[in-house]
Amino acid sequence: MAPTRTRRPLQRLLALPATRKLAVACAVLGVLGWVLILAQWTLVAAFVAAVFLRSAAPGDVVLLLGGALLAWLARSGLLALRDLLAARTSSRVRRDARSDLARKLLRLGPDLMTGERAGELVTTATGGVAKLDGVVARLVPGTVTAAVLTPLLAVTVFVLDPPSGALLLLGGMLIMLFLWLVGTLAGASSRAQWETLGQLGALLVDILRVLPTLVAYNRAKGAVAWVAQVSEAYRAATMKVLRTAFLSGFVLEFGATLCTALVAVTVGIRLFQGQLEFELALLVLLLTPEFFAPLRALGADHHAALEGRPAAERLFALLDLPEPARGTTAVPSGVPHVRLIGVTLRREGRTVLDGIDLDLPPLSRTALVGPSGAGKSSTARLLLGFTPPDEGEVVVDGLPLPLLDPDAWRARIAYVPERPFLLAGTVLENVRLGRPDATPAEVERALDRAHALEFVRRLPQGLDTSLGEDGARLSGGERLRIALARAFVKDAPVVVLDEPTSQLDPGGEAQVLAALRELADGRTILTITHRSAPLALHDRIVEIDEGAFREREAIR
Amino acid sequence: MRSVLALLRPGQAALAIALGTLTVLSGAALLAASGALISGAALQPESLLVLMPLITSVRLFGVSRATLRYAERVVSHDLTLRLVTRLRAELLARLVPLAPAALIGARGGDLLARIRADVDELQGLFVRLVAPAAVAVLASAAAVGLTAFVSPTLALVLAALLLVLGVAVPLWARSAGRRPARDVALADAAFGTDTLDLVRGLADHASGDGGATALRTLDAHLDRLDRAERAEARLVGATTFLREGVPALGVVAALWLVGWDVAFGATNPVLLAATALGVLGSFEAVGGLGAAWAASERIRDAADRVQALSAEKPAVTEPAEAAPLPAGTALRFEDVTLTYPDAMQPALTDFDLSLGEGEKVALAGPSGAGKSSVLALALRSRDPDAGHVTLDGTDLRALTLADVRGRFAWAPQTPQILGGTLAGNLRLARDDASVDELEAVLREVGLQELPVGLDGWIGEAGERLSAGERARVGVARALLSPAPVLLLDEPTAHLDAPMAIRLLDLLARQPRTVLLVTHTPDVLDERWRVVRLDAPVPSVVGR
Repeated sequence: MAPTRTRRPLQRLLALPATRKLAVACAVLGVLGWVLILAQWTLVAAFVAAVFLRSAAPGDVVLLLGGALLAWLARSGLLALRDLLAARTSSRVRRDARSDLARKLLRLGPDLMTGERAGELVTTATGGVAKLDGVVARLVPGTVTAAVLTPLLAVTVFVLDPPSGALLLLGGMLIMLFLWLVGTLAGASSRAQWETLGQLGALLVDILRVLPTLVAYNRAKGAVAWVAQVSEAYRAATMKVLRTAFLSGFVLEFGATLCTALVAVTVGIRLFQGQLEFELALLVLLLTPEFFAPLRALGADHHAALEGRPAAERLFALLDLPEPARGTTAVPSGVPHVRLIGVTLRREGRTVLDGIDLDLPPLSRTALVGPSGAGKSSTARLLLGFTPPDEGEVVVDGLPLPLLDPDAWRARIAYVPERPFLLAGTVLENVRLGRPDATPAEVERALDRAHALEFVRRLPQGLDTSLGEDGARLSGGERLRIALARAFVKDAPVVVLDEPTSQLDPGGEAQVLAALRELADGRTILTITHRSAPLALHDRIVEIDEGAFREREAIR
Repeated sequence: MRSVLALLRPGQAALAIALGTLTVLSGAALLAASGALISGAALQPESLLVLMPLITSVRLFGVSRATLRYAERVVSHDLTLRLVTRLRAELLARLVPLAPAALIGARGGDLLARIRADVDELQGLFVRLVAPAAVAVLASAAAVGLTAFVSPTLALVLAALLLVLGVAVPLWARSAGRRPARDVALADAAFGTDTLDLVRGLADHASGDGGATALRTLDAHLDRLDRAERAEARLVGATTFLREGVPALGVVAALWLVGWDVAFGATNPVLLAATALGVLGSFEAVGGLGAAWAASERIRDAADRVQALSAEKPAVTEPAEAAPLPAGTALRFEDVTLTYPDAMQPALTDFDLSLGEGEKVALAGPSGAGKSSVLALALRSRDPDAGHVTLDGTDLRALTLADVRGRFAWAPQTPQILGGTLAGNLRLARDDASVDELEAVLREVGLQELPVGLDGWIGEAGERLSAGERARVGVARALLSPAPVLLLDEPTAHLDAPMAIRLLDLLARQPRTVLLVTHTPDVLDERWRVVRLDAPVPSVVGR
């Protein structure tokens, strides 16, 4: 992987096997196209010359016309094939990019993802990847066709009529030069535009999310005006990019039409002076637009791909983010003995945990208490391997955590976060997050043990009721019990509970505590809490303060 | 789509269309004049002067085309971006009345996909749909008219071929493209929503099953997307073939028909090459339509979805004639019943509560007893199905929404923090609050020592703050607001006991009316009146 790291994003996109195959196919189709173009226009020129100069009846030279038509239609078929191949390749490349991005996200884990803006990441996975289409489906076939067809046609015209050939070569080279100059300028402003777009996207997401609060404080009108203002700034910025981007189109168009005009005028004058055959002159005139056609298409293709380069940069920047090392050692079976040894954790210059030791022997039940912000939740993330400690280590049955296969280790821990995230899917799917192959009967049993079956059965479609976005209509206690059912179905030997009762009323708390008591049976439990209610479950309480741990009391 | 079209500026649109038409005609004229020029030159007239008008035309058309094209592009893209700006603002303005209530069921990710993808799709309305269609009609008419001077039969053939390429092919492509376009949009939106879900619930997914379920779902969306795009690719291939092949028929017809005219001496021979080349150039008028119509379905779907959003009925509306805002702040709930649209049982039944000015009331009771619904009624996020909510004797429904919301400061159970700074979030409640006032209110809720400070970046959605800190920012915001009634939904849920007691004491000392929802009424002292909502109505999930 090392050599590809240093390559530029667009080149990496072009170096993908699918893209390369497309380029080769386009080159072959380009050569075939050249043969057909020559056949088509030679026959047309011969037909015109016969009728115009030699006064032949069209019926006498119908074969010339029929041949021209056949060649023309065959060439259309080649172009259709090229476009089809390009579209398929683009689908494949974008699909792979999205799939890679989703997998990368999981390997990075929640600790590394908090810094990234969620809106920006989703933008890259959806809109950003979609912009690669311009590169793969347009720029690649367009460039290859131009690279193959243009020189072939220039040489052809040069052989037929050297002065016109020279004119085309000169015009073509000047156009390429200007295109390169303008393209460099447009590239820089296009990057700026992408950033504005990203900010605009994040702004819209943010505003939509807090809209209820904005409305409650009578601030929604201001937000609408704000979005209008930012959109207006976006328009001004984009127009600046486009004025430059369109310049490349202008140069192409101008060069192509001017060269066509010059060829027509010079050929016409030489015809007038009797230095040239009409049939040859007509063929040269007909081939001139064909010489510029791929170059002109290239201008449009280049424009369509403008946004692809920054999109590719963002994509590869995300895919290249360094991943935490993944251990490969199998996780020891049985209830593991977990220890935190001399663990220090710093966040943004602040020491969250300061050289703490925490011993969690098999089947121990530990409560971790302390004020808000004392690093309780960080301890849970350390145990799950989401966060590597700055100093010290987490040890499982004598093995350092980084050596273990993280997925296998997380399969042995049931983690119930402070605010469990519920999928938009059904109750069944939500519980199965703990163990995807659990049968509906096992899910029901888990819900029952989590004291959730009763309310789930009252839902319109029971287990198959869709919970809506992030379980929007469930109460805090109901959410928690669904999350506990996840832990039950997972049947992991270690359970980490983060503030399991903070969102509950006393009635709900009693039910959750009953569920917790059952869950604790035969497992190691670590509960993070600031409330006294769940403490009775535990056999020891560890207090955390100012980043240090201290054993407070043993209950039993 | 019509309502979106109405957002276009007509003058600018007409200019862009005129420029586009002239661009196409310039191209055809350049080819025709070139053909005439070399034909004329081949006949070797006595003087070059005879050819001068043709030489001048060739040079003129050689220059004008590129200039016209550039102007057309600048005008039409500026038009498009103005359209997008107005669309975004309009869409958000439509969402505002829906925001407090009706949007709770709609998936936020879906909304996100709508606003961003649909607005992006609608960007193409003019450049990809309206302009190509108008230019096609105008330029085709001009080309057919000019051809008729040379050969009326050829003009008919040209008109027929332009119709095939401009109408028949697009109509076919449109009907064939309808399904794949819809499938692509659906799969795309679903992928976006579920990616957002994965990002948000990353810890749950990673610790749950290592993300296997999420990846399976995402891969299924990608498979669907792939299938739909395969159908679209075939359509692209077919339209390319027709776009390139139909002009061949036109040129061959021109050579054949004008060739016979020339053979019979009915037409000037110089026109043979000129007409054939002119016909070739005129197909540019409709060449882009195939792609335009393929995109039209997506554009229309996007317009429909945007339209559907504005058709949704807000849960609360402004009164026809607003009553004056009463001076007092006594709040009364009289026999109030509230049922959520897709719920099976009412959230509140015959609920009565009276809050005197400055009174401190705590609502307690089990989850789902309707505590948060009481706050929603006061804020007019929803209206009761039966009974009245009155402010100093005036029914809330008789007051303007702005007046009602100006009377209450609300801190929801999960405070909604705007990405940015603490100061920005606090000033949401009061624009003109000074730095001293902001610092004072932060001190009151115990947030004076936050490392980020007032103007530091608190992260997207305030993610750099802990849940307890976010809750206190919500309370601070309510305290800062000048509103005389505070509505607080479980402000102490994420706090440890000393901090919770301190915050409750702070609220009790307020001169304002306070309505509090809490799970832990036992820590409240005698300054509070505790109201129990004991009707244990099970909460119900809709959809």
